[in-house]
Amino acid sequence: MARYLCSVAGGRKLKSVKIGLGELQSIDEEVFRFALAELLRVEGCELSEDSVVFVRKPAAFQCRKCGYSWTLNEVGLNDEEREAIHFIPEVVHAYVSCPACGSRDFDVVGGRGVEVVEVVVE
Amino acid sequence: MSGLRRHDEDPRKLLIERRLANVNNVIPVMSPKGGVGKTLISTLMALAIAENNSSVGILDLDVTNPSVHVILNLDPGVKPSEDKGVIPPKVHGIKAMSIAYYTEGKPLPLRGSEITKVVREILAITIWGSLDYLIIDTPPGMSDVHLEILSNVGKARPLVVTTSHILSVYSVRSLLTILKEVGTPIVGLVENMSENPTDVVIDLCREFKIRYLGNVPLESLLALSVGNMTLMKKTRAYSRVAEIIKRLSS
Repeated sequence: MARYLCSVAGGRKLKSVKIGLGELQSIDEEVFRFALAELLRVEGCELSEDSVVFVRKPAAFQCRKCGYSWTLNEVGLNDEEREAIHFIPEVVHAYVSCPACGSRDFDVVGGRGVEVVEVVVE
Repeated sequence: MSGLRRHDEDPRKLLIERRLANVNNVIPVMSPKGGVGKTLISTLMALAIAENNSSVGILDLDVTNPSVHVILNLDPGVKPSEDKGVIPPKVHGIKAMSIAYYTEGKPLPLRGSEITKVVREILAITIWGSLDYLIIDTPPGMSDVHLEILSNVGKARPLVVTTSHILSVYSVRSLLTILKEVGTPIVGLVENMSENPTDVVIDLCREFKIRYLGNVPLESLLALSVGNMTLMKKTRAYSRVAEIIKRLSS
């Protein structure tokens, strides 16, 4: 991601970046902010830590069997389950099933991964 | 945001190369037919390599039906540690990685695209360090897991397992054809559940110009030894696999 952001800057100064954090990743914003700033420095492209803005992308699911859509708020996960999902998000299928029909065959339609949402270059 | 280098490339692919940079031999154990003993052969191989004082890891990529942890009798309380990735715990002299650490024994049904993501994620996050061998247990079939390995693990050299049964030989012929088509070097073929080498399997090896590594007998003690490594090392199957490992490293 740092390499990508530097390539966007193309030698100009990065003013701010907006990063989307999927809920399933359970990423600590401060650790991520620090790591990104350090990696950008290594790539030769500086950005102050307070210029990184995070947007939380809530996890959302849709059942392939009955079509029901839901979020994590509806089912809840304990800390251990969240940590397991943080490492391998697809294991959410081990801990979550459709609240309407009970099926574990559902799509993760939101809240997975980390993405660059916006880059502002001076 | 146009004209950017490698943005479309999944960054995990680059990580996978780095994670395996110091692994000398990556051996996925493959067979399209289920029930031919891939998992037991994989585990016996890892045990024999460890016994031989070589460094070894085992990676269970049968992600919807992992069972290496059952054979190795992994303590459910033991988890990989975390330090810029995950470091698999060492059990019986083997670094063992499995999705089972993260599912607590619960069922994990996955669609093909999700299996691809899991395989890529596990390969990208697991820190193996320096290893002489990494043995990868794979599910039956020729699908997402196998294609991910062949596409993203350049140093993978599959070992193929079959029985002498016509259905297994038929399926393995398809696998060998695919591996040959894409130019993947094959370390050899193991004939499982056979007291002696059989002509049909030897002929298959000749046809595809691959090494017949040996036969492994079917025995009830092996089934009884699941979870008990001391007993497992007393089986004839273990002795035969240990001979195969010596042959592989010679």
